[in-house]
Amino acid sequence: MTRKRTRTHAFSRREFMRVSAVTTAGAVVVACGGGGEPAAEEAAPAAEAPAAPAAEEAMDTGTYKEAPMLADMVSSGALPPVDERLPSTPGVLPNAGGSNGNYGGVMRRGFRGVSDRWGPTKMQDRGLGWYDQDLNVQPRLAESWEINEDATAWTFNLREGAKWSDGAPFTSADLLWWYENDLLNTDINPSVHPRWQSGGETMGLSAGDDYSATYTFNEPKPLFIYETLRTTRRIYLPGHYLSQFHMELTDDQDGLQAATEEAGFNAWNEYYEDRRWWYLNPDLPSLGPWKAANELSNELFVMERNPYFPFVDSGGQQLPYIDHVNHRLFETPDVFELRIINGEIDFQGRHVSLDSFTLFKENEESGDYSVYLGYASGHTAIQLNQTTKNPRLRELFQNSDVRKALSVAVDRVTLNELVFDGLLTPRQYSPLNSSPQANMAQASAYIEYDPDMANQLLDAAGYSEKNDAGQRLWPGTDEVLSFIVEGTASPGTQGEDAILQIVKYFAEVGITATYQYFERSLYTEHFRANEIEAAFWGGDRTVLPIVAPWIFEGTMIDRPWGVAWGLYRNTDGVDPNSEEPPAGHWIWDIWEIMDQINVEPSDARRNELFTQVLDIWAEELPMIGYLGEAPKLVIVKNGFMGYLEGFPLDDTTGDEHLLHTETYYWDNPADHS
Amino acid sequence: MLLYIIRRILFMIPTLAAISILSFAIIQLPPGDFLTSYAAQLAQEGDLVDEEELEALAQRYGLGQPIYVQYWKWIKGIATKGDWGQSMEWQKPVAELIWERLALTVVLSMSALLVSWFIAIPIGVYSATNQYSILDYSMTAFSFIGLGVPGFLLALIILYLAHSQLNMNVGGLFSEEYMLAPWSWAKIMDMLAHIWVPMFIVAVSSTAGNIRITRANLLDELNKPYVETARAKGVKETKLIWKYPVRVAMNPFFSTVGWSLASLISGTTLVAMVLSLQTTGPMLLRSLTAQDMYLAGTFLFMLSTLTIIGTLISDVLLAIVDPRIRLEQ
Amino acid sequence: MPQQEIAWIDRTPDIPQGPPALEEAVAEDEKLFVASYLQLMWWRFIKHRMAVISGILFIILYFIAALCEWVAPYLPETSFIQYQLSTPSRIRWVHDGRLQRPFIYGVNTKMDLETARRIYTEDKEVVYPIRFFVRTEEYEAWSLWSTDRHLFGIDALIEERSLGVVQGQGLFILGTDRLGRDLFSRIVYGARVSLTIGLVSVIISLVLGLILGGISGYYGGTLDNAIQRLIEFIRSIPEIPLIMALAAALPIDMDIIVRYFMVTVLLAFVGWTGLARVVRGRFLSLREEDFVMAARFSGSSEIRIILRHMMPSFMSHIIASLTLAVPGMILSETGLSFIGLGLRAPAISWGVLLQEAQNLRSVALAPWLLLPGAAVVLSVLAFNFLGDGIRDAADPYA
Repeated sequence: MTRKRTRTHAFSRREFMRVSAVTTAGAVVVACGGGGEPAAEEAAPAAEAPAAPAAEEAMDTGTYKEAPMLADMVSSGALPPVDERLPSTPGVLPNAGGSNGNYGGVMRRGFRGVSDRWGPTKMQDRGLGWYDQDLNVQPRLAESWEINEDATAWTFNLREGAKWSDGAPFTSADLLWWYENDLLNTDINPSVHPRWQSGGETMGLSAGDDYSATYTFNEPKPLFIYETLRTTRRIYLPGHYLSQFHMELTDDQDGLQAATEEAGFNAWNEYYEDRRWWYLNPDLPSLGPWKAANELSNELFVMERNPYFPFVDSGGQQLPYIDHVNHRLFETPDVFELRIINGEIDFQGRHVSLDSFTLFKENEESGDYSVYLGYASGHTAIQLNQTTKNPRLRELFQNSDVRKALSVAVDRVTLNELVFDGLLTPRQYSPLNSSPQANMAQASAYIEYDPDMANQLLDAAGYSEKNDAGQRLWPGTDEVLSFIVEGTASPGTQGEDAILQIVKYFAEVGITATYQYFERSLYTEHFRANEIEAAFWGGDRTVLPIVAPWIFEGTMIDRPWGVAWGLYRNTDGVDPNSEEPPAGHWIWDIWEIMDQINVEPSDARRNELFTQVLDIWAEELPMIGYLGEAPKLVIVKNGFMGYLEGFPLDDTTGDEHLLHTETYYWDNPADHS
Repeated sequence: MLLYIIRRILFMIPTLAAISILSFAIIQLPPGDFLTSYAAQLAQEGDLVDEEELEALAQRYGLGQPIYVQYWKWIKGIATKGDWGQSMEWQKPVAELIWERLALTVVLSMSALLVSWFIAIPIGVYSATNQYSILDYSMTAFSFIGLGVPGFLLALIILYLAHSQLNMNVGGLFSEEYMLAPWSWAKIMDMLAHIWVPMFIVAVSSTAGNIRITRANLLDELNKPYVETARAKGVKETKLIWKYPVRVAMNPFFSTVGWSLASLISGTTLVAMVLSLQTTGPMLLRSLTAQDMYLAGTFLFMLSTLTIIGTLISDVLLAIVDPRIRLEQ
Repeated sequence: MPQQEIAWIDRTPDIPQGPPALEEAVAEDEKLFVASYLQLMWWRFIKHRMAVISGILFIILYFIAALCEWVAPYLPETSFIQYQLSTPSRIRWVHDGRLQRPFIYGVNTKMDLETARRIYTEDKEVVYPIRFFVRTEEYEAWSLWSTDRHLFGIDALIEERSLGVVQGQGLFILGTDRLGRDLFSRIVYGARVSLTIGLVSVIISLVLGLILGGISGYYGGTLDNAIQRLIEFIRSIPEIPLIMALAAALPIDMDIIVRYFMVTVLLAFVGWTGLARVVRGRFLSLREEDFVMAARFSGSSEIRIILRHMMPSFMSHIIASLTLAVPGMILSETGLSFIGLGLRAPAISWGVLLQEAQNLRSVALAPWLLLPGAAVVLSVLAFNFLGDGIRDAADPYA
């Protein structure tokens, strides 16, 4: 069966989100009062449960229902009944499509090895809250939270009776365990990251009772909630399990030392870190919908359902619906793409390249899948390193007229048509249209193709001398003005085509730029040493830029529009390659505003402030964007239910897992086991 | 002979030591280290780069230490504990990662090698004995085409044709249900069902070369006086050809079979990458680009050792097969 | 051994290492009373028909490489924006039931909005005859003079839309790539780089191999032992990381082609070992041969013995190994490109073109993009047959 999703649906969804998402963290403050539109999702499940006899095969002995594979284990005594496994008030996650799903089946995906760990992790890690469809944060593992007026104290209330995947209770002690024994332990964590600090001081954490914990800060920390959504940097740890690997807590220090050596590590903290990774240690208790069944270094990485996952659907069925998630390793994209068109990938957006759009579309029928369109957060953009070590280039790049010239020198419409089949939109690097911070004025600043204006700007900036070949010269010399654009786009891809075409447009206005491919580690090395003159690396983080503002601040690794300045802000000027920006420079204004945003409790006021940042961007073009709003392809096998088209995919919002992958299901699970 | 072998083996020790240092140094030559490539990789995939984690990793793998300290630590681990170090990218001990892959690689390469010679020798002999016949020309043309088509291209085309014409997926060496299963008869059968495609692709290119070698060497032999003499004496043609000239013409097989030890590991790299085979080649290449020091170092060390041992084996084999070659002065 | 597929690892030229033989001595005799050795060779060579054909092809290939701007109907970077991934133009002979000079019909483009695939249909009303010496895009030949005459093409109006992007009909005998660039033109331009860039490296390898292999074989003893151990050591140096290191060590503002050239030249210094082993083997056996003994007893100097008596007897071998090294060099170029260590766009070589086509979408949607592979095969074929012919011709018993 095929379910056609029209583009109009996608657009209306997007329009809708732009309007309704202005409040972002508003819902956070009111906690489970249900700020967003789908308020129904927080309705008490118990009341509704009997009314929805969704899946017949589900066990129906108590209040909640469970998957048949778990029911078998319950009847054999291997597991306690579902009602005992779930908290007293489980979280309710309705399917995005609104209907309750069927239990069973396998979801097949692809991955590229341990370095690709975040692919599986994004499906599995669950924090205290998560986004709803309107990008508002809703309570998840926490049942609710309160925040004091100046945002210096955050109190989280956990779900009473929630349990780890091994059946141990999940309580405030687990938050505290992480805080005391991991975050503050200098063997494990030599220095505390600023995200856990305010005003230079590390936060405090105290447990009210088993189910409530309060984080306290020196200065307002209104954006703290976003640090608790994913567990990449951890927010809780299963202390009851990990204590045995912690030298200061273990009962058997000699045994731990021996085990450390046995496993080939030099010190206990290395072994501890190894055991702390969920994908390397299938024994590690989990709070996510699935847990590792084997190690990620295998050719096939299998995740199996967590029998204690403390969430249910609106019919009272314990989630997830899908029994197993199989990630299969691939070396080159070709094999992965072949699996897609063979219909061997059930649900995936990660690694699905827009380059092969036609290939995927034409095989939809034979592979029995559909290509859903979302929005990629990346932009086709160039970063001129305004702090490059070459003084002449530095002067050139720091001139905002030069940046404007290089923006209008490119025919974005032709570029889009030539390289991207017209699928993208001409725009600057800017928050996506579906972002709460979308700003059309900034997105469309200096995007008209106007080579005459480019030439005038460059002439007026003092670079008017040219040689016979039409190349501009460094003023007062006969040396050709030229620079190198570094990038990592692979050959034959749209990325490489785009940059080579952009460089041609530069040549048309007399600017000689050469694109140089670098192996990505070399590129990063050049970045860190501030040896990059200019770079071609797409700008993403455009869905919730207030949460992930690093590109706008100039501090994000590998997006080098002002490397030395970014290092200065990141390292307080400690890094030898860092450099203090000149006094009165507009980057100080951006940083100042960002500092205000970070302590501003009012949502509306934060948005206002961010608009000021974007105003600076619109005028200064710190980095030059050419095309954006690229479609992001998500492969969805026919019969795989629950995913909706038209959402932005960005790291901040979990890519294709924004809508809770645990609520996806097969319309006929028997065919997919 | 024994003396010669012993002397050669003694020579191997300093050579190997030198090579292990050189390999380790070469891995380190490109600027940056595993952490930069790791951070870059994460950033490229749109993920967070966590400074804390990078710091922890740097400490864990001793990346800040001078190269000779790292080298010494590594080589000491090998010599004293048989510990090849940890792979940074895979976050696992190197030894755990490579053995199964190595076994698969050897199976694949050896079978391709045998298939290739099995086909190449009769064709080569025919080509040489019927020089400039139509079949000789077409075989020659075929083998040159085989030589000329890059293996990775052939692999990709076959991959797609298998999908579009036969509706099968030829990537990988196992079906999903056997990937994690322990070795069993069924798993071996499953592997045999998958291995013939990559085996064929690897064999095609080498068959071509082997046909050429057989043909050329046999031609050299056939024109020798002793063949003429034998023919004049009335020895039957088949016996005449197969008894001596073919045997002598097989010299190159023996002189290169040793070298191919090393290419067993790296030889199938490109094909394996395209077909997503879990062999050593792709892992080696990846460990190099990721600057995964100990994994790459281990591979390179093994490659060099095999090259040196292979050269020795070749020389010894040659001496055994061809009595005219003497190893001692 | 999969020599071909790991052309960039295995440095042995594909030379049969025949055991030492007597034939060279006999050849010497023969040439005394019949004809010069070279003449004999030539006679035998022209009897080898495939070798002759290959020889002609060889000349054509290098001719194309030399005159690529003129042979290619378009510049390699010109994008025909209405003709992206265009199928090869169908060359026709019959219009309105009448036989005429070859021509193509006008082609209309329509984009399938669902799949973003372009669909090309012929417009039978519009006829573009294919002519020789047409005037289309202007180019600079050898950076000396500029002209707009091309070997062949069609007279169709091309309008520049923006830099390097044109609108209008073109003649695409091998189709176009994803940016609407004429593939035939790109292959022709690629020939120049692919057929020449490794030559210097091949020659360096050859010279080093001859000298060191010769010394090793002729003098023997300790010197031989030392050189053999050196060869063993060099062969064990892993090549891929070495190339990576070299590529990283070269200055980043170096031109891509110059950079790759430098890498190949540097690699030549580790690539001579295969030939050296062969040469050594030859010398080892030759120095025991009667005619060398005779020369030595009659008081010839060592240089004379080597150059006058020993070298000629395996000259054919060297020529053959040279011709056979060229395909190895072409394949290395493609192999290195595949793993990202070779040439890259905007440089144009067969390796680069293949690398760009080296993905599932090209194989599935635009298989003509694999045609640079045919160019590789063709030239490998030609060089091999040529080398074969020379080898056979040089064999005095054939």
